[in-house]
Amino acid sequence: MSAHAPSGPAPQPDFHLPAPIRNAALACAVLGAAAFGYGVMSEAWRGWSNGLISAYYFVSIGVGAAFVLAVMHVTKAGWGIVVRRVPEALATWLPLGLVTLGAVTYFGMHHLYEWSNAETVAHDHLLQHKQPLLNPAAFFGGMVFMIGGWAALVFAMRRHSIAQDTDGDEKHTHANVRLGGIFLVFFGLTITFGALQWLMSTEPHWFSTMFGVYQFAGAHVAASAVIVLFTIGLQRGGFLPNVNDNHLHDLGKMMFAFSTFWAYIWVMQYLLIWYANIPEETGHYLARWEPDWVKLWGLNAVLNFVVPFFVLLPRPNKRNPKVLVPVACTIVVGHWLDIYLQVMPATAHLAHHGSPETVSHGPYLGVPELGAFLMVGGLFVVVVGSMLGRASLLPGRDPYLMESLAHDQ
Amino acid sequence: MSATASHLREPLVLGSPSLHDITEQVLAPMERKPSMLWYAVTAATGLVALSGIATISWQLYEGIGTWGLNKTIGWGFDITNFVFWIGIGHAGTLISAILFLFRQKWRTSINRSAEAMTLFAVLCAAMFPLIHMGRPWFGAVWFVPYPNLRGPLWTNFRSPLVWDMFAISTYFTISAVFWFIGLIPDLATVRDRAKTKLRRTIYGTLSLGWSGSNKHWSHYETVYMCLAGLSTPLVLSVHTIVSTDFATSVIPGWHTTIFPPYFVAGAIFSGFAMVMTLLIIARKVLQIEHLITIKHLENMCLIITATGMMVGLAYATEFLMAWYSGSNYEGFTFVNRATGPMSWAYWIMVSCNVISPQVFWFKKMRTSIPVMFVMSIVVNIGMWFERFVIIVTSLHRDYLPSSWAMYSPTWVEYMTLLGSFGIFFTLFLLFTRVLPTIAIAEVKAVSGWAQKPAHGHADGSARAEAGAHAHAAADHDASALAKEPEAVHA
Repeated sequence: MSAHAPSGPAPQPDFHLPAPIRNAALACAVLGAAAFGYGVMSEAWRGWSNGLISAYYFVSIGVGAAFVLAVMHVTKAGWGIVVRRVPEALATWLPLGLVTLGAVTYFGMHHLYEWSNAETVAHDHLLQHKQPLLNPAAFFGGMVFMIGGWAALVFAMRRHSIAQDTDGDEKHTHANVRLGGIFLVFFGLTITFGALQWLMSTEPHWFSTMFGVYQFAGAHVAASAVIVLFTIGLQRGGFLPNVNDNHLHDLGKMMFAFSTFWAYIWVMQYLLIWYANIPEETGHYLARWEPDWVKLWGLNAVLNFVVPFFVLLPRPNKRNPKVLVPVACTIVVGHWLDIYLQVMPATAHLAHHGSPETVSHGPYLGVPELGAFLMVGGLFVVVVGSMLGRASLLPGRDPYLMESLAHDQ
Repeated sequence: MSATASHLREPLVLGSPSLHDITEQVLAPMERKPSMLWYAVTAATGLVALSGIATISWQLYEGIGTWGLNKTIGWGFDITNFVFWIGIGHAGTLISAILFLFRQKWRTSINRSAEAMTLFAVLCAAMFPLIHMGRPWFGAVWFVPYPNLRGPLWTNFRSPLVWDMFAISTYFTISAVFWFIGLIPDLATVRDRAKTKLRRTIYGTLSLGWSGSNKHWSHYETVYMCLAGLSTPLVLSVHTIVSTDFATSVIPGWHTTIFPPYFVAGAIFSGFAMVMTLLIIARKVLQIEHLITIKHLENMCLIITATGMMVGLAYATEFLMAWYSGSNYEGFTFVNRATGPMSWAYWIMVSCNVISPQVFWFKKMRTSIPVMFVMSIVVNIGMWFERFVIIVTSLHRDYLPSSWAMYSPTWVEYMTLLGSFGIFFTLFLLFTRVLPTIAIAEVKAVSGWAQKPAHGHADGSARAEAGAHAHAAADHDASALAKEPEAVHA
């Protein structure tokens, strides 16, 4: 809490993803892939559903981190310079995110999306109506355009950020303000379509204008949690000597605020549909209120809102890594559950040839769920870890660096 | 913080006035006799306000049959005006609470007048549901059983209209308390400078015995922080609840899940535009252009652009989903909005709210006072029409073509709308005369003078030095102690 301005940053050690972590992550990915393969073989719809859940999960973390990064640039945030390389690295997952999401949806399409089945569409007036958006060409073309666009902007921002480490030129800061602004506009438009095509269309009869905002809220809070975990991990290893409690405090506040925002969107979407009670809309909730699923539906709100809200409310908790890490882990699990609850009840109905009104069995929690998560998660850690090692973890010549070093609250 | 601020940051106070100068400059308008200009403008707005009040009296006497509503269009100007004014009332608390939590120090010179504006706007808004009741002397107490011959008739607590009453009264109360707490140190400054006994008594009472001691500041900052935390969810809740007035129904064009965040974004959009309209005039007339600088206005332009695009995204999403849902009714409503007999209102809304704010992508535009001033008015025209479009065009062609109707507002409705502007501007003009329009103590803390390190302590404890400077500069002005409320708690 010193009010003295530091004279300069502490020396920044080089970081390379330690071999044990790298090997463990690779082992997770390989074992996970085996379990995922087993899942697809034994119960195809369940295997592919988990593929979609996990692939989308990490895409959402990547794009959530990209959003945080873009906001930092656009708002000229001074506090976060010393942690900026973490979201910068997390967002570089996006190209592989495109590959994984593209692969699971391509090979698992008929198990995931009712609209991909020509025979079903032939008998369904609504699905015919929606075909301009819900067809493989629009689906994959849109995916490449959207995630590709996000990735291109992320790498452009990262390039300027890293170039500044060498030349110290302020033009990079200005360029990133512009790129961040373009990213935010592009992201706002595309997340609506992405959320619709990738997730909402697992229940192609259901619609909600809030859905894009809902997915944005989830991605943002989960990305904040992952930023917290990586930052604290690196700090513990001595690789972020310039990060102190004040920076953790801000990250904690971000998790707190956006977990509350997620809850706001979650509750309002539900409240409005419950209140109006229109059959076209209530099907979504009725499917999740079946006895098999309803406990998880309630748990979702506990993990993503109740725990973070009450634990992070007191000031000291937001500054304490021993509290931040468990809360961030809760959100990481909660975000997975959030997506699981979107996909699984829908694809289970589809697999059991039911319309959303028929009873499905569930929940499904076991080897295929864990396997798919570890497969993508292992790759994610390897990629992000090596990207963290590609540049200094301190943007040492950023014009706002001194503000970040002196950050005090 | 300040001593380490990046050289890219533009100063928040221009011309490096001393701390005493700031006190003088902010308080000058309320310590001198009103100018002829002030009298003339206040007389004009007061006249408009009075004619509005006369019109309201007439409709209370005659009944709301004097309006242009009919059995199809049950909500028209009344609720449009209500939502419009509530939206205007969002910027104040956003600036004072959310920007405070985000440590946005540029808020310090605009928060006071923005909060005052919020309170006046909420008052204007509250007027409309009251008039709409027809018999407000019953309606004003509608949370207790409604008197009638058949025994107690309770209100429906599941009705969003009731939630609205609670949401708005809570918002008004907390905003007023927040505003008052922030005023206390400045009220004490006014008290200390008062030359007449009456002034000393009034401002002395209002400043609650403030002495500027460390203990007072410490309590003050704790309370301010807590209120900021409490107000933040309120900023979102008020327009969220207003949106549920529509979205909980089954009317196409009203029932859509994106309404809550979309309404909140729209409210911030219009609120900032109104703050801009008022401050562009006020900074010129009150000669405080070095305290409310182009930088402040530019930041507001950026917030207007961002929220304008959020609103635009919501318009587009609604259209997309109206098609995607495959519902004939949804589809018809939106096509009718854009191409039906009231499409002119829709296109005014789109061009004012989505297209025109894009000029702010250019630095030249968002630093040009005439452009900003015109845009701030354009945005509020657009936002008024947004509510009109949502309310009237969704209603006028409902499920039954035999009941389709058109809406033509009567002179009573026009005069009431005009009157509400009169009331609003009159209250704001009175405010500039009786209270400091700028948070003096807060602006001092971000002024270059307060942040200059003391001689011989070039890189020393900047904040302590700033405090010492302020103390020295304002030794007969104890309450003006430059503190930095933002920097102490979190």
